[in-house]
Amino acid sequence: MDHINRNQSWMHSRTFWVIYILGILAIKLCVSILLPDFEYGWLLVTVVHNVSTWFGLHWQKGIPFFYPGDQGKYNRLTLWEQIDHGQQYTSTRKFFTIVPIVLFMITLHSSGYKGIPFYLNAISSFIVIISKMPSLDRVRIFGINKY
Amino acid sequence: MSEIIEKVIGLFRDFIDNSTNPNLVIHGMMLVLIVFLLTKRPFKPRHSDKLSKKEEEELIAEWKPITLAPKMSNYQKLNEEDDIVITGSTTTTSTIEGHDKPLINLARSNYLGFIGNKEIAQVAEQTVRKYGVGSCGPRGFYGTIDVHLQLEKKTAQFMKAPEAVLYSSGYATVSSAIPSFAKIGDIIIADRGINQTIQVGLALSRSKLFYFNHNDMADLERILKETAFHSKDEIVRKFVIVEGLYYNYGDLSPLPQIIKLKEQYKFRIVLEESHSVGVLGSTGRGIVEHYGLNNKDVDILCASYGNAFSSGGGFCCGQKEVVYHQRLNGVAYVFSASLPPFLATSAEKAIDLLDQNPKLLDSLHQNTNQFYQGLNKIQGLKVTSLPLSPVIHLQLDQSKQSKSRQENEELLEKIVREALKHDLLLTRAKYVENEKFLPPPSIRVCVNCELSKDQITKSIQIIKDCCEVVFSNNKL
Repeated sequence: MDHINRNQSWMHSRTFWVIYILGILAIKLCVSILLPDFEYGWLLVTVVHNVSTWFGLHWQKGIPFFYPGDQGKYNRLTLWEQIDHGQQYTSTRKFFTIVPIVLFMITLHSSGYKGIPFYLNAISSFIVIISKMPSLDRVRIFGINKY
Repeated sequence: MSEIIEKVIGLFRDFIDNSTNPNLVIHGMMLVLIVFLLTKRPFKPRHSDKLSKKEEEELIAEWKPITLAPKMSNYQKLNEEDDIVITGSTTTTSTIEGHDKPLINLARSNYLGFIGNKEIAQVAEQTVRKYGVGSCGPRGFYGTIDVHLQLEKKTAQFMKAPEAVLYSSGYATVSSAIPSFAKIGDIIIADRGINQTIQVGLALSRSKLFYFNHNDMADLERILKETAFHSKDEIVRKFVIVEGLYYNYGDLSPLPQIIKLKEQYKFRIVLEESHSVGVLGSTGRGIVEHYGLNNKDVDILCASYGNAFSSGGGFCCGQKEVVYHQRLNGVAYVFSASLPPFLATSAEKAIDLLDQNPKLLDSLHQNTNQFYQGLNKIQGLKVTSLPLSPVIHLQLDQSKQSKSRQENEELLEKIVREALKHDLLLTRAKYVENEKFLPPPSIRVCVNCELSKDQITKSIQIIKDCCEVVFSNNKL
């Protein structure tokens, strides 16, 4: 059948999931050590995580780092759409959707539900989570980033 | 039903409004979302790539076919106009269609007068009778015949190089030899005056390209200094590419200075000698002999048999490794059918003739000198070549030049046409229009060693008269 799409095959590894979570915790630890008096540490981690994963999963298209031996099959698909050949609600997808939700909850807990911090947290998380929904698979709102 | 929903929403709203901690509510909603996600079963959405009728029609209406043959530019049209069909040739003259008398041919690079040579023709005929016209296969695939090996040996002896490799096309020689050595990531430094063959080779090599001004050693040194530094782990091959005798300019490359730089900056020299082999040096060994240099200093030497030796094909000579590498990596060597045997034997015979009679070179130089002296005196034209180059470029003088290149070309074309009426075959130097560095427009006169003194005086007189006629017409 299909050859392995090395662009996304690494995302299913359980080891990678553990490393991913440990990575987020490590970044939070670094922030805590470097800025001990900064009260929005989790907010910073959440926003940085959301922005970077959004660009990685939902903006960049095609196969940027490997030799694309697929004759352009994935050229118009984001990395998120390439996971599991487009199968929805797989365990990998569930995991990568739950991570920003949990981060949102942690941040909500630590920086409250009022003011600019809340909106930053809510909007960034909202965009990231909504982008992962099956109903937005291969949908380009207003044709943005279509080609 | 709607009442129940409204009631539930109302209850929910009350709960949020009355809740002392909205945090908890949001947390709860998130937990519900997570549970919802986890309970979902995987499915595959169906996307149809089919277009609707309307979209199809739009796309069809938008599509415009590209013309099969692109429109010709004015320059290309000018080059196409003078279609001359040659029906016969002797060593110095040619007959063309629609012209009764034989014309003195100064348009071909027949420097040693081997076109029309009877001995060579005889050898070629014998070979055709023995082997037929073609070898019908690449060298590595039933295409090698003893005459190829003999010619390789002969060429290596003649060029005083350890080995030589034979290519079946003079054009493909250098454009295949360069990419067989220079690959992606390597550095190539080339003269701006190189001809189109080498440009093709450079493009095919996909290396990093740098160009230095024509014969400007200070500029070459500047580029060498700029490219001298790269990390120690990287292996970067560096090549400097020059022509022995520049076909587009008619001057020599300052090889001794380049070899001095080579010792300092460590690079390899690729020398294209298509027009200098059989022309320069006391016995016709090319520019290396002309300057009295050591053959080992030039790493890769490519040349064509098509000019002085009046045959076909090309060769590349150098150390054993250089040649053996090309036998597997030279694209034109591996994949194209080998040189027709009769061309190989006639090239061999031509080398023999030159070796037996080096006086041909003396008469070539005398003729070149006579042409140089005579053409220099013509008003309105200037000779830009060196006195010892048999390729003589006649450019328009400053006073006769107009602003656009096309007009200059057209003026020169008129001179060529006028000369045709007086039994003299000339040609402009024609280039591919989108060449990277176009030399200025010129008439290219190629000297032949067999021309007699009278013929030369006559040709110079004709060119002079034609110039006068064309320039006086042009003023009006």
